[in-house]
Amino acid sequence: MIKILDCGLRIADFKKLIAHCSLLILLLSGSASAVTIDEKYKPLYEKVSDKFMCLCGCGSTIKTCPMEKCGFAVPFKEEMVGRIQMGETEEQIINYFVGKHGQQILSAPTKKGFNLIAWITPFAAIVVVGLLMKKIIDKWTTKGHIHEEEIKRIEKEGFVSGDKYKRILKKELEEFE
Amino acid sequence: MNEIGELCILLSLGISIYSFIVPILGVKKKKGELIASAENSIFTILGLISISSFILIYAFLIRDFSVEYVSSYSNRDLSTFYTISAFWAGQKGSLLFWTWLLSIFGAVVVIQNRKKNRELMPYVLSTISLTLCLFLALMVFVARPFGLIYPPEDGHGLNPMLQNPGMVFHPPTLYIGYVGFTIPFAFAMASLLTGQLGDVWIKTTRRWTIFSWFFLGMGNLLGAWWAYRVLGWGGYWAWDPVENASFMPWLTGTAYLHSVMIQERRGMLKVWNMVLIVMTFCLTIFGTFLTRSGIVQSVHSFGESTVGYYFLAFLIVTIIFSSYLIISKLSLLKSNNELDSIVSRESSFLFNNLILVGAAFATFWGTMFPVISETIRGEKITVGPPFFNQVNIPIGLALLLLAGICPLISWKRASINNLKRNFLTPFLVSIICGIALIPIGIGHIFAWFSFTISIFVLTTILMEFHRSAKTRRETTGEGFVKALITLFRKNKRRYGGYIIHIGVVLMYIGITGTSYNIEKEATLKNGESMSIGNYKLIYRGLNYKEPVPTKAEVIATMDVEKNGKIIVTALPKKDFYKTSEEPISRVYNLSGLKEDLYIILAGFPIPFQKDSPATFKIHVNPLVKWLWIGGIVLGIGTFIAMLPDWKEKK
Repeated sequence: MIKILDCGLRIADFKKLIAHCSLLILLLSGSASAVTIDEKYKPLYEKVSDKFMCLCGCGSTIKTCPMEKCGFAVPFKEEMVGRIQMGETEEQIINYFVGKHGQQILSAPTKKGFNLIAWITPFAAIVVVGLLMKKIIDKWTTKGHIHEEEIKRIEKEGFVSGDKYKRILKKELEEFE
Repeated sequence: MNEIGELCILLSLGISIYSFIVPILGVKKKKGELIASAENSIFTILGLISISSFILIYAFLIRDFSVEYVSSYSNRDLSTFYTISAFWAGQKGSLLFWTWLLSIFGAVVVIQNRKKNRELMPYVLSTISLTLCLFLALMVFVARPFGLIYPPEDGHGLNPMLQNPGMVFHPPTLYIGYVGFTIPFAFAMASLLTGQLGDVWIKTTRRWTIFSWFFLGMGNLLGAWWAYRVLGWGGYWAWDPVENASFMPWLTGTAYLHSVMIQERRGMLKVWNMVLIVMTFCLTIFGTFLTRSGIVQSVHSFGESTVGYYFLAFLIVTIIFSSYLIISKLSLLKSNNELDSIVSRESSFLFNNLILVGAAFATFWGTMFPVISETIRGEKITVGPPFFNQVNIPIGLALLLLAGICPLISWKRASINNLKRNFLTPFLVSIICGIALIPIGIGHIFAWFSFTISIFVLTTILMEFHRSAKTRRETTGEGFVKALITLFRKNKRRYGGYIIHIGVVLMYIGITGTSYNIEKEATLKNGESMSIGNYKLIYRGLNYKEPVPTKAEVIATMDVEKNGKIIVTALPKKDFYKTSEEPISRVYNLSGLKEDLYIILAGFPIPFQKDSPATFKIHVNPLVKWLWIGGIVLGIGTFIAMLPDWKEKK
């Protein structure tokens, strides 16, 4: 069989082989063809196809869906190409597919309304925690500076300047003796 | 045979309940023999789970399709190599594999601590045993690996996408990372329960943490490598919820690895370190919940199952209990020191932690936002790769910058001299290189920042190597290379860390290359050509092969020209498996340090002939190889950092 196919298959040979080879049936059902699009529309196609999520469960965008004959991405691409070639703008195409499939078709949440929370929260959390951290660090370091200033003052004024500490020192020295 | 496997799991569950309760009883009643008995029971569990695992592997090897799990994940034509890997390919087998790993790690911990950490060990054993109980209970009551069915003629076979060496090593590597974090978590719990909150638990688990962190990182990287080679979309990371689930504990684990250094050195951040290790462990359980509950759509998930909800319950209990313990011991977790200045290594590590945990939070938030949105508004939304890229790129750049600053800034308070000595030259070098990059077409602002900061970090590290070796040479009279080697030998942790940072920088360079990817799709007739980047590709027809009875290959031949010379004949192909409706693209990847030429055979007409036209997707992906090289360098650095230091030996 390999030999025959290497030499090129005629349709008649193929029919004969299909009867015997389940693999070829698979091959028939499994082959894929790329979506064809006019060269001038390609940039828009590339851009827009990344804005939609493939809903087959692959977790990829329409542009990057790895399934060759994906039941969702392939017809979606065909429909999208049709709309691009009809001259629709990016916004029109997005609105159309959102209307058809809902917000879940978008590969990223919109930056308005409730969805804005999705975008803001991570940065807001970092900024808030960062400011909090800065405050704590400042508190710690100020405390450190106060200690340093205290030490300098004590060094300058002599070890025990207050009466209270003098009394404690005197008492402790007496007890020690 | 299968009954023995099942019985071993059942017995292990009983023994793990015993080894959970008995050590605590031993402490309460001050009976050392009870603790010793619990320690020995870990070995019994290891023995029993090993028997179960070998029986399941044996069932795979003898094609015992009466075992439902064997029938679901293998068939008669599957090679021995992939048959063994089918052991962890599905839900039930992976639970058994996980348990096996945890029992091995538990046994190693017992051996390592025969004569030390005696006060901590009963609680360490209890924590490990409780985790074992969860997995064993699931295998007894919910997901039985040895569940029987009426044996079919042949099994369903292993998903062809998993029949790749990358996919054989990716799950176990990841599991080792996930399971490994149980050990530092167990020691953290033990130190909280005993009130021994010094550095002992941190020093004891340092290598376990690095080990787990390394395997979790490598698991992710192997997954990325597999996706790049097999999925055929030209990328390697899709921000899939399950990918995110293994990325998050890696980020918090990285934060923990850094912040423990401050506790060891200055006796600070004790509460924070507890929080980080609890967070990391909880995220490993959360990842397991995501993968096994079906709550989020993912190509990786095992499908909807009740198993996930047991993990959720365990996760909630863990969070409540750990939080209670940390709060109740707050007075004992006070820092021994305070920060002297905001311009210090301690502060830079704190900011590094903020960014790492921030990245983990951003990833968590994006992963869970669809669930949050649906709960609050009742509307399904999707959070896909564009969101994660936009949010994580600036965070990632801040992190990269800190990777250059943290290791070299002085402890306590950095003086102007310290800052000048360590950072002035790298700053100038990176600015000059950054400016030099502009005319050669570094158009993307984030890419420019990434390259410039990478140069800064590399320069700081190389300068540190040079400065330290030079100082040693001056004091000892050794040659430069010998001085450098001695430095590495004498302080493996520090210099291993530098190597890890170099690896991370290389990985950033590889990732940044994505900004310059070129992609083209074309249908070519035999003899026709297409151009992409500096390459010209000439299509030379299709061939058919059937290397094994269950697989057919359609192979396209393409001559690849560069600068007018044929440099290689590329053979992208498509594999058709009897067991799968979906053909698998086998990408032809001409990989170089500068770029990858990535050729996918996308389609061809049926019936085809040798000279039929075919459709190709071609990518030119710059710098990808540096991502994998960075991973190898990171591995080398980790290995160096894990080796025992001279000081420790003494």
